[in-house]
Amino acid sequence: MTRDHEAFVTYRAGRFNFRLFTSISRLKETVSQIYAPLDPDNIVDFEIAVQPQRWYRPQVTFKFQQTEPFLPLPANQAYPLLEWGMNWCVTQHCHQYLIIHAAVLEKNNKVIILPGSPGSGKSTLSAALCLLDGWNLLSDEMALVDTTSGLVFPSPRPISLKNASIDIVSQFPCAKQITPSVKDTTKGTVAHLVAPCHRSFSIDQGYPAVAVVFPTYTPTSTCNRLNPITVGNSFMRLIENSFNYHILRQVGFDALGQLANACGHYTYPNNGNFSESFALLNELIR
Amino acid sequence: MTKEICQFLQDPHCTSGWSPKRWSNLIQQGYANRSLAQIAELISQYQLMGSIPPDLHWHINAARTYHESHKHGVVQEIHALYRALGFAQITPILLKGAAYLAAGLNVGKGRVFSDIDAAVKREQLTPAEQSLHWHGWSNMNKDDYDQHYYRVWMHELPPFVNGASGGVLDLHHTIVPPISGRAPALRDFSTQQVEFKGLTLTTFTPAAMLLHSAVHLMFEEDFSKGFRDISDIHLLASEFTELDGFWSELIEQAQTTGFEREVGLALRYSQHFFATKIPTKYSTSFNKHLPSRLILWVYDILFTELLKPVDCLTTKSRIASYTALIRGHLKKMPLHVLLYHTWHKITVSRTKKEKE
Amino acid sequence: MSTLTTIDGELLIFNSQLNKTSLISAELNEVLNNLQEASEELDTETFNLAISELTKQGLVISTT
Repeated sequence: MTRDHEAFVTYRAGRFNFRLFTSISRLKETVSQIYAPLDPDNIVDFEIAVQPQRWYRPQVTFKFQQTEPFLPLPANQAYPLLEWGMNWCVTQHCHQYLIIHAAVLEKNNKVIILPGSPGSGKSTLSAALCLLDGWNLLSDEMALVDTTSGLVFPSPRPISLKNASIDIVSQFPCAKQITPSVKDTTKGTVAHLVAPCHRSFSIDQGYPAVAVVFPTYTPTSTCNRLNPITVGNSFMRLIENSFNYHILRQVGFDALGQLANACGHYTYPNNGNFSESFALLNELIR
Repeated sequence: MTKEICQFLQDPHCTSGWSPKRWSNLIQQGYANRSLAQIAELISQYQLMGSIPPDLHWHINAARTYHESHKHGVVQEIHALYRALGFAQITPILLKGAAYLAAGLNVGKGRVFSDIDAAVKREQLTPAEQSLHWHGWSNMNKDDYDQHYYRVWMHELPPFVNGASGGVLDLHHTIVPPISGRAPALRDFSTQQVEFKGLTLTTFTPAAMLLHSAVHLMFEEDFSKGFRDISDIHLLASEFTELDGFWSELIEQAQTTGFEREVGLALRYSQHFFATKIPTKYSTSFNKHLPSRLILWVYDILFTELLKPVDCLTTKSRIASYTALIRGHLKKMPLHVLLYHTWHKITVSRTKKEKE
Repeated sequence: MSTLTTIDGELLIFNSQLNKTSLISAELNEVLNNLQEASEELDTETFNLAISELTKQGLVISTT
């Protein structure tokens, strides 16, 4: 007999297989709408649990095996908590890659990396590129750089939208799959957008990065321009944006060197004028 | 069905013919019990990578990468510790994880641990502490009560943190709290010298090492790493059994220090989970010191629960955990001290909450 | 210690002992190269020493 809390769903999210134990049926529903289900007997990379606790002011907890990396959150935040938890699983364990906090987009088999701290506008920009300009989303939160080849591997998952960007993106004509907004999280209001896939791309293939672009959302800026920076400068900034550079040590240095020396590097203060962004970024992949 | 992790640690060859699902289970259990890097080491030692489904290889490689980085940190910490204490002409004895690594033991291969444990003689504590302060370590617990708790009752000083690296050091002067009335002198444990990364380091001898590991386990009150602790016993015993005179030395050391029962129990549970091989002559000798049948029945229920491997769904039996918590504390301190300690902890946490 | 010259002429240095990465500007890197070429005695070891000295002096652009 299966006890309630042992109910699970096995699915593929990005490059990784998850087995989620949860008794929250709404969460299971959302997951099955967004991710491809797998046979329950499939091998898994991460066994995780999102479970409710307390009957007064109910909360949810996230667990990978016996580790609980986050404090419990209010019960309505189960789905964002799951997404953050899955990110945590990857960034803490997948040391076959150098992992950089960045969005990764592909067009014409060429990849640009958009590293960015929260508020940089990288998610909004990524959503616009995918929905309005035919880019493929290889990853929203992390660039997975293969340590032997320096190539970037896809791990597409929904784009995490915050606050004002939810309204902006929902107005895009082809923004069909957005999860309901969840208010009052630590990141404000959040919603997740499933990016469309324009051409089928192989998840098993690595792509060379042609540019690293550090966006900053600057509403007051009058014109959008890519400002070139040196490889060394960008290298040091990428280290700051990396989750496991310090663990990979020499291997991380070599992989980042391989990646950085093969592409252009820019800062990109922009005021959110997407058509100008499209023109500039398409230049990079010509 | 016995968990994959127990079977694997008992004999890695048992994996021949395993389905992908079983390998996948082993890896998840490795994560759950914090022993994936140890499993990874055994996989390479026994050349088993070829039998693992390719989609799972990265787990093994990534665990090794992580462990390499951990090991690098530990080596730096050991160097720093020796430099600092060398200043006061004190040679510390490395204990537990750091010692397993330095002595090149199987149990140390891939073992990830959070603190460096080292021991100095009681009379060396003050100069050792001063020297650590001069070299950038500071005490983590500033609270007066905690200071008192450690300095008067415990077998170790309040944890030190290395300001440069953030590494944590536990400095012991014996292996169990003196307030328990059972603390032997450090000199009762035989030591050996090992060469490690250009340093000559001191650790316990094999017999003393296993003794310490067993006592530590049986005095424990927090079993969140229970399975790792019992697998330590198994791996130590399996490696040391090859050494001439190991078992008789263990019996002798256990006698001198009065910990025959603890060693007997630890070996009993190691056999329960891993069928650890112990020559009959010696196991009979340890069995003589086990508690009476009734108590042993209770212990068996308690410890097989607390030491079992965990998985994503495991929430250890609350009763077992509470019993262990109380038992562990009672072994460490007499009842009146325990009551005082508990009362203090409760009132302090209450006033802290009120302040917040 | 391992080094990488970027296509912009800067020098990146990884110190495996300390697990630290440093960036030396293209201008300073050129000076160092000239020094190395001018003096045959300037072997790798001395060169590395010079770099760690420069790091201490704060002449390196940035260090992790």
